[in-house]
Amino acid sequence: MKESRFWFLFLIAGLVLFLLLGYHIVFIHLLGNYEANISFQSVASRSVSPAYAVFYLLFLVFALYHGFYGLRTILLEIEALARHHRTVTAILVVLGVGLFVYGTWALFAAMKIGAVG
Amino acid sequence: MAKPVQYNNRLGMKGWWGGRYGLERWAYFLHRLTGLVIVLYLILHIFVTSARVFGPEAWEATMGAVGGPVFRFLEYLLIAAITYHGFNGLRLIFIEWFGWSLGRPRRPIYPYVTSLHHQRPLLIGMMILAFLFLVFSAWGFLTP
Repeated sequence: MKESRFWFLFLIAGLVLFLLLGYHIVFIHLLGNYEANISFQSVASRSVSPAYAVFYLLFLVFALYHGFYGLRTILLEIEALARHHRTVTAILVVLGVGLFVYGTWALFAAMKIGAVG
Repeated sequence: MAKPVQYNNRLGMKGWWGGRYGLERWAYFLHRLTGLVIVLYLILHIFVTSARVFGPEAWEATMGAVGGPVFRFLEYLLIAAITYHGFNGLRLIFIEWFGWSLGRPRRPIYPYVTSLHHQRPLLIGMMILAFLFLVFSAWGFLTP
């Protein structure tokens, strides 16, 4: 895929994040009782909800893509790193995919544990 | 003939500050700085929130470790960074993707009009929205 396509996906991810992160901040951190929102009971109730699972999965994918693409842009402006751009990209892809796998594992594991808690 | 002056125009991160920069340049600098902070937080956030998998005790212990007034204040700073990055990012998407506020191409006739004359009102408008959201979030943070 051409570099400009990846960049365009980065813009789309940014736009989606504006909505997802806006929702997350307003409803978890600003509205209602924050202490209650982050209690295990409340967290577990969100963890078992399929709608929240989809929300968190989308959030994870878009945030990691946008974040790591942005990080790559910054790193590749450093000349010493730009010379090794393939290595930099490969390291960031491995890190990003690793975090995605871990986050997805946590998401599905929490669906089971959340039902108990 | 005089030797042309050589400028190093590949400064990397060193090029983020210094020089006589306009408002948009500071917006760019802040956008990158907040972006770096947010991506580091994202990595931390994935690990911290996955503590729920290990049961209520592990969750409460983790929340206890990242609780208290200091973390609450840092959390507000993080919301400020995200708010700035979000509204400024929306402005960049409007300009780079939709081509808004660029102005029509015109001949360079004095007095010169640059695209900044069209873009600056968008920047100021977005910053007003970001400021209003931060006032709203401060209210959300101060009330339990």
